[in-house]
Amino acid sequence: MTLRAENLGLRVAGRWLIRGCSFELSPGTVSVIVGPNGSGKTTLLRALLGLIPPDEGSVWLDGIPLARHSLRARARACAWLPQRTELPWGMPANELVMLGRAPHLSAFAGPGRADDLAVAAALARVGASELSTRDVRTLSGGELQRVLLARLLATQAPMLLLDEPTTALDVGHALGLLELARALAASGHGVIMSLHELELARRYGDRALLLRGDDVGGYVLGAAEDVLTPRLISEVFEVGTTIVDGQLRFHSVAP
Amino acid sequence: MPNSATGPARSWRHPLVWSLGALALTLAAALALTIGPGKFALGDVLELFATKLRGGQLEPTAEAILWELRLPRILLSLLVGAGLGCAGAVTQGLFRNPLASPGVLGISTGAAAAVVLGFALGVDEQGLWVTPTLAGLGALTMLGLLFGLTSRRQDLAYLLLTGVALNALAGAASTVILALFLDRYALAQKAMAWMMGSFDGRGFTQLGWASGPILIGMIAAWALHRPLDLLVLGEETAATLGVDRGRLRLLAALVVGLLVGTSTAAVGVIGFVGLVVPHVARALLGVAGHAHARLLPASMVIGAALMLGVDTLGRALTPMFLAPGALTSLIGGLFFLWLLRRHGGGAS
Repeated sequence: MTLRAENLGLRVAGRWLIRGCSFELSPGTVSVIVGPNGSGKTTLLRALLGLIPPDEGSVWLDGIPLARHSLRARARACAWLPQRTELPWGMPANELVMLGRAPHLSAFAGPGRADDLAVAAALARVGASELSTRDVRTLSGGELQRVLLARLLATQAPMLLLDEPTTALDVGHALGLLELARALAASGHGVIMSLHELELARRYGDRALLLRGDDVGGYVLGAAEDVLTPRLISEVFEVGTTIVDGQLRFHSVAP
Repeated sequence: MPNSATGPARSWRHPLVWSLGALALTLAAALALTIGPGKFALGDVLELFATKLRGGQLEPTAEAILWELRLPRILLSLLVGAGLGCAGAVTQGLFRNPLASPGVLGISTGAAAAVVLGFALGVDEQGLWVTPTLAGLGALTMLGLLFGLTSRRQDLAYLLLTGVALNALAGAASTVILALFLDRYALAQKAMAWMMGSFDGRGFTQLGWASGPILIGMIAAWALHRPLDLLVLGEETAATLGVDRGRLRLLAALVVGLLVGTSTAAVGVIGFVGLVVPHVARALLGVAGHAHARLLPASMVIGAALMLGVDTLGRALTPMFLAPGALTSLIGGLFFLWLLRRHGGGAS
């Protein structure tokens, strides 16, 4: 199972967010998308999911253009964790996770034994089995994010696309979630996520895509340690960057 | 422990619960038959059915009052209540908004305006199908306008205000049409009586043509239960779980149009049932109420019970037969204010 972008170009209000970019997401790796606010990280993920059509180029799933797959086939291949999930009504955590089984269910038949098992396995994988019957509105931010991730795992999609999964989390929960992402990649998932924390991106990403946010679609693509260098970060984010004790340090520069 | 985990929620699908609900509703309907002018006890009602089942003849007064007048009226109130409750649950799910309903968003008023226009032009005389079709088209037009006008902004206040504006416009359209044809007194009287929303004078005729569309609408609504569940996560997330957004909107709109259109054509405008009923259902179901597989049937049963109750209360309390449309608006209006107080603070 591979997700491939070919000569991808995305434009918003006349500005190119990214242009002429080709890459492939394969199982077993963690890819990170970084870039300044408004540089198009979320837009890129949405294009990879087929939620918006690319302005140039194309996205391919298993050698077939994404648009030629049915919505259900896409749902079984790629699962998405948006930045914010709205939950207007309360529901038990296990039923929220069960929503991830939708691409496997027919319109009239209810979930069966296999679906119950998939839900239980997904909750166990994220270490949230004990939250199973809790109303999701009573969960803490860290607990909710794990339950939401279990919803993706219940889909059994090989590709996981996460949009800033750590933004609402404290540092402990953020590290826990990224460790989990690495473990999922180790067990065969392809993980691609946008991240704000550059140091964490460098530490947990195999490959990185840095969006320059320069209105002509500039980007840098490569191994995480080659892309997230002090020189490139200073250039793109307009901050001073040094490496101290193997960690990125930032300081503001006079305009 | 997947089974024990999902156990409590799934017990709502248990046939026993629904059987008891249906039994209670049947009993209530039988009791409702005894209420009103003329002295009939529950025994007389049961005897009536026994006689009818044997194919026997009834005493003429009992036949006229119980069989010809009250029975179809009660069945129609159950049917319309179930349909409107169901339409309300679908509307709230579709707009992901607990304050949305066909009444609040002007969908019912749109259906009414189309029917009034039909009266004015005299096309309703063309056949029994004309009024329901017009009402359905009116409801669909309003849904189309709502989708169009709220596509850029999704917040609660904007949707409700758009609904208020559309409601006012459709109401004004009805008034203008009536004013233009004011010289025809019979028309005005017919339209006014119909707009009140009432089961008076409705019988087997309306029951006959309204049953099919409303039952089909409710079954179709149930078939949408899973996409409606997924919509709770947001439109784009639902799409990544296999929901075709455009198709769901169209199908849900058709369902609401069919249910509201048929109900409105049959008995006139009955406000607020679609708003109140899903909330009562959610309150009863608790956290299990988020799932439309349970919410939709519960809304049908509660809607039917509410409509029967309101109509029977109206018949029992007032010699003039208080119009159920007025009574539901009275109850629903107060309920809506309460809901606004609860949701207005944080949700918008």
